[in-house]
Amino acid sequence: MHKTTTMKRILTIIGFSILIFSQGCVKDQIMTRTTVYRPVYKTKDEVRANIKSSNPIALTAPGKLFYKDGYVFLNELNKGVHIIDVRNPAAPANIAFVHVPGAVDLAVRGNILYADMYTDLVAIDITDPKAVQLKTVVPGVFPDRYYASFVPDKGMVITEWIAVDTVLKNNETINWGMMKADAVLMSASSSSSAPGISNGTGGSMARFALSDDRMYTVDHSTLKVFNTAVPEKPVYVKELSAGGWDIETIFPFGKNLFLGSMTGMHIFDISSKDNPFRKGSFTHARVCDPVISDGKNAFVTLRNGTKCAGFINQLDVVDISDLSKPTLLKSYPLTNPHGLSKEGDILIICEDADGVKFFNAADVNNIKQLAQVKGMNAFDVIALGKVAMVSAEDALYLIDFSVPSNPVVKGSISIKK
Amino acid sequence: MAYRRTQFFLLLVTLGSVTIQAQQQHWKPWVLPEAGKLIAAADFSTDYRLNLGLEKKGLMLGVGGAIDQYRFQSYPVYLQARKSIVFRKVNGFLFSSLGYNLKSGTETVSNWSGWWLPSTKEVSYRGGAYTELGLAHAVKIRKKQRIHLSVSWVMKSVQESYPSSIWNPADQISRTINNRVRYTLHRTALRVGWKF
Repeated sequence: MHKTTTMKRILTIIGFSILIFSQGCVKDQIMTRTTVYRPVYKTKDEVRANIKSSNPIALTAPGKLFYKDGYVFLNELNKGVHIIDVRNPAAPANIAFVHVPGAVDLAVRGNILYADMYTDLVAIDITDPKAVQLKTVVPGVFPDRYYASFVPDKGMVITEWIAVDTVLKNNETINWGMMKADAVLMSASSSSSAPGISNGTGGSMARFALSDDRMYTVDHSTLKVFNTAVPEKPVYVKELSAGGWDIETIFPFGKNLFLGSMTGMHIFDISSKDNPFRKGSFTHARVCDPVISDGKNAFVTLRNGTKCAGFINQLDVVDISDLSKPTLLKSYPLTNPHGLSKEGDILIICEDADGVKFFNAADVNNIKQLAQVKGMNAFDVIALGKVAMVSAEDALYLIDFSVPSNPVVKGSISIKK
Repeated sequence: MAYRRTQFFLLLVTLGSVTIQAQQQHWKPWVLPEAGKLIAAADFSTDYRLNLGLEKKGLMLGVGGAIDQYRFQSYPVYLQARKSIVFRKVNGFLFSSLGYNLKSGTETVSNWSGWWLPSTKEVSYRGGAYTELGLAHAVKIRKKQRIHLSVSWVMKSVQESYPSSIWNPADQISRTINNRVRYTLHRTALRVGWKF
């Protein structure tokens, strides 16, 4: 009897103890010390007030290129535009920096620089690069420029991201939505000009393209038209479907626009400037694909990559003699092609870690490599005359290819890491 | 190596000296191997411990080491005190441990952070605090031999660190950062031990 009572007491004590200990004491506390990027917000008025030029600053995260009249306009991602004098390729000079918060794409017509300022289009007079003037703001034309997961209040924009050390408790996790798998470090598109006012020239991976007195822009799925007849007063005209999803680049040639998407190339007729219509498409596997054209053929580089998926690295030459039925002429294997440019018969392709390759493309059925400039991770190129302006990971290079079989790096401006 | 040998020798001398002095003062040595079930937030787990020390007048002082298998297999070492109590005619012990949870080295683990990242990551570990507070009941089985049934709250701490990439949306440049994760794991332990 005594033993039974004792056991009951023991069991009671142990039972209560388990209850007490289990209720509050069984948990895993997990504290993660990490670094995240947090957005800094400003009002649009504050941002506009900060559009100004300054002394040149070091290149740190260069983006797209645009060339006009001996000057390279090089985007500094989300911060503005470097103005680089390349009239002497052997001694390029960084002469000024135009602060345009949120800028990613750009184009130059006459003395007016167009850039995106987050969701707005801005037109800036760069007659004096060291004292630029904001001329026009076309608000809200790039609504997709909001960062994923961070949609600020109306009238507010994210002006910068700052790294902050933080402690995340328990089940908190990093917001991966603000992270992006692949960099876009490409250039702008070429153009034709209207009487009296000339357009600059870009490359194969731009999303702004000038043609005559219109500017065309693309985002993921839409093509927008701006009237730039009065360069300092761009007017939004209309928006239409770009013919598919994942549109990445736009390249104007003659009366056509060549849009590169992850799944193909779309050709738009712009004979009627304000009413582009899709004439034809060329589809391929899902990869990244900047595109250029010389009027007879389109040259599409396909590459794999984190963002682009796919398993192809090649150059596709597409016959566009019938714009409504572009057909593949021939494919050439490449390593990891990015931007490309064509000057006469010379085709220049950036091959990332393999540098820049120069090809003789006089016969598109028998394109032959002439030379390769190694020692740079090349992303995009604009070739004009006999100089190729190459945007690479470590510098902006100016390569003289007067002798295409023996291109020579004439000058460069380093990128500060 | 010679330094460690000297340390070990000094430890033996110290323990021997303490034991001799204690026996002269009528302290009696005891040994208590234990096996336990850990009730925890993530799952049930086990630990195995070996405690040894000296006792006098219901006070047991000792040291111990354990293999703790919850979440991260680790090796706590600790000082322990047990004080006998009588509650409603039931003989028991109130006990407490305080020490360090040994955990070190690196290992390659699966990386679940994102499909675009490498499938594995190198994680390095460091130990942390180890504490315990509990109640035990002693059941006599032979002279000088007892079965100890105990319930306790036991906490171990582990720190892991691993590098990862962080993407700056502004300049679209990724940089490598070091993440440090401090796990403070609170469990309830049910143990059975044989004291002799």
